[in-house]
Amino acid sequence: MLMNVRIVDTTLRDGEQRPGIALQLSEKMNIAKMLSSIGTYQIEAGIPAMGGEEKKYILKLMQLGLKSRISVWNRMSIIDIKDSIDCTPDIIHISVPISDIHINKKLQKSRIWVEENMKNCIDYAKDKGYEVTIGLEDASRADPEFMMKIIGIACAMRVKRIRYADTVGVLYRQHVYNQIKKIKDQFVNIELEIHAHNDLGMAVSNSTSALRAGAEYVDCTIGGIGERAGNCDYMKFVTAAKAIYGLCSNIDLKKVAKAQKSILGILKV
Amino acid sequence: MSLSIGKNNKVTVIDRTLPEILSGKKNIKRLETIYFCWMLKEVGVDLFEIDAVFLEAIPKLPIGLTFILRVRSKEDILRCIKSNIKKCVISYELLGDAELIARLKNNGIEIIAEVVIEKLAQIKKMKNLDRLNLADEIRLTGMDSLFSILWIEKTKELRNFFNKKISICPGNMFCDATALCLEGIMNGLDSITVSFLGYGQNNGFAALEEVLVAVKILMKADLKLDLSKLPYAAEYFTSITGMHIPDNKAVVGKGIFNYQAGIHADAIEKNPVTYEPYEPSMVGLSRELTIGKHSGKRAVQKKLKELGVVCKVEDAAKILNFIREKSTSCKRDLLDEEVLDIYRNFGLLR
Repeated sequence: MLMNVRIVDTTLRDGEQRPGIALQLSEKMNIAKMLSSIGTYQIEAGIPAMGGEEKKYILKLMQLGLKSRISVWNRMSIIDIKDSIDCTPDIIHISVPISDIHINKKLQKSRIWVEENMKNCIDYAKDKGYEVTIGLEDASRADPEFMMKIIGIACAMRVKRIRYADTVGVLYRQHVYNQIKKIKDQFVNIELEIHAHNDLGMAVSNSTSALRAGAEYVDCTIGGIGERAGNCDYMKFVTAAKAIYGLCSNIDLKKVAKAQKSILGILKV
Repeated sequence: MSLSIGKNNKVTVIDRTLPEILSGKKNIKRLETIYFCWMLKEVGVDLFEIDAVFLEAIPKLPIGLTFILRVRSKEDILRCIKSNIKKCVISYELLGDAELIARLKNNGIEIIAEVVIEKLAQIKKMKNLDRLNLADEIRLTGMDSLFSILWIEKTKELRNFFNKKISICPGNMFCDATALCLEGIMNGLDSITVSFLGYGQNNGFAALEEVLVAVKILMKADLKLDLSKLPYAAEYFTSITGMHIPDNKAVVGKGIFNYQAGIHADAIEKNPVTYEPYEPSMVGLSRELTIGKHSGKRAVQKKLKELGVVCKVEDAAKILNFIREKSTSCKRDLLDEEVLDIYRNFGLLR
């Protein structure tokens, strides 16, 4: 199963969301360049719906023609997606709240609303010619049956990649393995991306476990920065993936260490 | 005491922070160290693993705490007797020293034999190690590379084969020590060895605080422990070692329940369970709304309300860009006074 792994770096989105970090446009551009130079497959550059400077920076970033693919994060909203389209990214990522906790308590909506809204958003972005990836927000606390249904709908709409997000960091190795394997068994052609948080200190081990179960993409941040206790640490993950599975052969740890030092210096953490 | 996971599942927690601290520091203060141990005992540690170096620094062990000694030589047996220590850890190789084993047994000192495991196949081969029959308990250590869950089954087979308690002490080279300890506990192993913050040489160990919270929330176990004392343990740790604990360290980082991003702030206001894995007070922390580049209008409205200013959400939206600009130019979150200033300068505060 273990073919390869591609790193999706979200330092400039989930990482920057950590309270205390506020990057300037030029700093974000520099970080993106460094991330691209160390072999990052995809850079989640930000949230265009924030408007103003954020949109300007992403547009500028696209003009650099970096080797890494550039994606942008969207709520499940046509208005957000329009902002993203203004930035002409490579990938439009749409976050779909999937747990009842998020659907009911955060959005105060229903599962049917989630289904319909997701379909509209995928349709809209695909119609404009964009590659779309779907993020299952709070997947680790979701009803597996509903999650499978949503994945099925996305697959039928020719979405090729699904992000399984452990939004509050409550996964553990056995559980993530079983979940990813179950999705892979049911949807053979779908590509899976793991997005782990470190609330219980297990973001790296959950990510390596997802790889073992068949996930091909792993979300990381430099220094593991991110909301609360942070995300899967880029350098620690690459170290583990190399040692355990012999993966990430295109990534040089020395270069990652150097980039990490520079980026953490910019972030001032 | 042991961690009580269920009716028939009790797990002994061994902490080895103390010798790890001493290996990097020549002098430690007796009183602070003892307070630190008491803190750890209160949050769930049963036994404190120490070594001869520790006994030299703190020869008089406090009453009320239970210690186990790492025995490396025959002299250490005397230290055990002198300090009234009833349990020791020895390497597998030392099990071959018949005289040493006889002296430990004659003095009623229980033996935990430590075997380094690097590959899954080694667990199976341990059945050929007759010497292990001499031990009272077997500890598997290293284990950083055991990624397949098969290790649990093989370890259980080993326990049945020797009919002895099995303890694990995973290293953390690949950031999976906490996960390994949790797997061990979930699958009924007898004991885990950890350190506070996972502190230790060569990548350290499983972090005590992470394992405890993981067990509590993932296994929904009523541990009957007061984890709200963890910040005090963290303070003592910093005081003893001089080491700063990062604000985002899982479980004990002071900033882990700070929130700012518009989507998160809005959702946490509606119900914190949306973006928090557990209630902050469980680990003695509290959530704090910070205002900065990623704040949304409702967060600004809430912060102003906290500061005694009632404003409409539309008015909060009007100053959002100024807040973002100020935060970006300062490269940090804004102070309460700065938020008020922006609001005041916009002519909204009368």
